[in-house]
Amino acid sequence: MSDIALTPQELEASTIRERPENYLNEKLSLASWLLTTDHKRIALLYFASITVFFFIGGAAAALMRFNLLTPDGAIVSPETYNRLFTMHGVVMVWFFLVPAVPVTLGNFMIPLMIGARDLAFPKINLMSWYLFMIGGVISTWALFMGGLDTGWTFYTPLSSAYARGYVVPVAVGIFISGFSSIATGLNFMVTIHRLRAPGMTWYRMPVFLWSLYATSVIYVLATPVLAMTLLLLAFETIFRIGVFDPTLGGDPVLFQHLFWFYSHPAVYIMILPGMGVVSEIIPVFSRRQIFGYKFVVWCSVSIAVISFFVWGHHMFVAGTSLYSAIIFSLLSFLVSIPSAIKVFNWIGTLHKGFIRFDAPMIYALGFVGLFTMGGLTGLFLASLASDVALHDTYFVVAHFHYIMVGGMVSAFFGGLHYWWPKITGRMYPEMWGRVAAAMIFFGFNLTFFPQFILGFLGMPRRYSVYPPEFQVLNVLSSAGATILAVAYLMPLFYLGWSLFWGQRAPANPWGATGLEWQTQSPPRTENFTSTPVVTEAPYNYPPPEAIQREKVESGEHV
Amino acid sequence: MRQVVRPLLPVWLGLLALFAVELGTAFLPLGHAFAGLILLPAAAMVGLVGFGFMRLGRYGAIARCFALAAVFWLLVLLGLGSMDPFTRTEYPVRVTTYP
Ligand SMILES: [Cu+2]
Repeated sequence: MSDIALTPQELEASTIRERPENYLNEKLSLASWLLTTDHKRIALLYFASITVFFFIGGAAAALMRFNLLTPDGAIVSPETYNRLFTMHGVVMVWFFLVPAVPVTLGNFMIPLMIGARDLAFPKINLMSWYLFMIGGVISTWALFMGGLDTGWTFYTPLSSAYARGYVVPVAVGIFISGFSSIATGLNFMVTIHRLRAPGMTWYRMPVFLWSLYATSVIYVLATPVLAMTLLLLAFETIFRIGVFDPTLGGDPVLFQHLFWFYSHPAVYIMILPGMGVVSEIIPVFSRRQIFGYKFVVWCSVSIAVISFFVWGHHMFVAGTSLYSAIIFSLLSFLVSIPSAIKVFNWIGTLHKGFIRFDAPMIYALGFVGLFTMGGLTGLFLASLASDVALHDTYFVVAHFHYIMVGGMVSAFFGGLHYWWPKITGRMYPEMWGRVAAAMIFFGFNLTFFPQFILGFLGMPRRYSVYPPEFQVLNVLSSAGATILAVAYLMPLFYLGWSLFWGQRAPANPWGATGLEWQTQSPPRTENFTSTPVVTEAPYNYPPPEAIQREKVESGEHV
Repeated sequence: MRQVVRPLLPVWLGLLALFAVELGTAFLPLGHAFAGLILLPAAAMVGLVGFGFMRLGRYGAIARCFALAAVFWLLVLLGLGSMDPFTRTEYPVRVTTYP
């Protein structure tokens, strides 16, 4: 495990003495969990729920990959296949990716990182979890009852006039969970504005908090538009009010405008927190100050703002006007600038660093590579000419899975391992962590790289059958999905094992800066015994020369 | 809790009343020239939200920044969004003519 941070005293204190009171062992009843207003316990409630949703969505994906093993569909009918990919999309987007990092790692870490006792509105925080659960249960119930076949995008007039299935119940579930997003965003913003510890100026905040702030802005400004859109869709389906249906005087493309006005910024809801996690991990495991701090944080903000200007790139072949397509194409290219700046800054941080390949770092480095691949292939889709050919092919599927799974899910696992000692007070088994991280990277690439080629060759997405010449690449992809599935199940076991038998974690196992490492692991309910005072910039690691000197003096082989 | 909720109640009732007015105007046989009238209750709603709910007069610069941001985002949605229907060549938006 970490050998640089543990002083002998700390090690002794953590293994021999019985652990002091903390947020986990203070109260033990079920009610103390379900009615808690402690941000740390609410984060764990969210952890449990999104893990369930992740495996539901994953099961749907596994069935799809199984079906695509043979050209004529191995196990399910085309109709069932449609329902499977809809289920996969709805569950993964709204009940895993959109909440994932903010409500778990963010919920847990924000007060600890700014030196506060809790979030600004602890009761609203609990209410958010209940709203999320109510929405999630309604949607998944409807999906299990038979679901719907529109895809997660609910395009009209398919969804309003032709779709058979539970369009309205699923939309209602998403609508309700949207209020959870709004409340969470509001809570985070107010907390970051009002509850920072003395001396914690904006530029002394860790990058993770900046990215969560930017995410919160999107939560608050974009989610209402989705709520209105789904409401209009429900009105049209139930009362036949003509909004999107052309036979009733509506405009079907209007639905796509409104839907993507939410859903493109939602892509950044999903990736910005991941970028924040990676910006925390890389400085720690390369013992370097983050390169270009101000650029990194302002890029988060500008990504959040620009993300609202680009939604039209989803509709280049939907019959929108050429003028708007050209402008949306140009604006889409703009978003790549702050994203690229971030990538260069992470690489700049690594430069001349003392890099350690602990599991969180392997996930973070995987994120940087896979996010770059996903981002660069996005440029092909933002270009009008190539998008006409690539639209609705597996190229698009591969592109956004590189961002969402290769990027975001890697960052989630990286952050989970990085903060695991703080959250649970136990170390995870390092060797297993590294093996799982490497397997996720390998399995992911084997699953999704063939899909770039398939898309380039013209295989359309959302079909349960395909011409036989595409079989080799599809089998490769399904083989990768098997490895990926095993790799995703592994942390469930070894992290679960570590809860009971893992080595006790000291307060700061990684030797990291940041307020969350200055309190005990796991923290007490009120987080800090006294309000911390911040006196320096974040990531204030000693310069490389000092580490070098220290190692030479201590006789360590460099 | 009560001190927070009570002053908001009339604001909410006011918003509902304005909403009823909006719905009502949809059934009035107003000519094309009066179509803009429908914006009046909407403007009143914005005022109510801004000064009744957000209390922009009372709270400082940050609250006003957020209120402005909301207006800005609405402009983005309507501005960038209307670019397509008004310049579309396939299936252009029909301009509704009022009787
Ligand atoms: Cu997009």
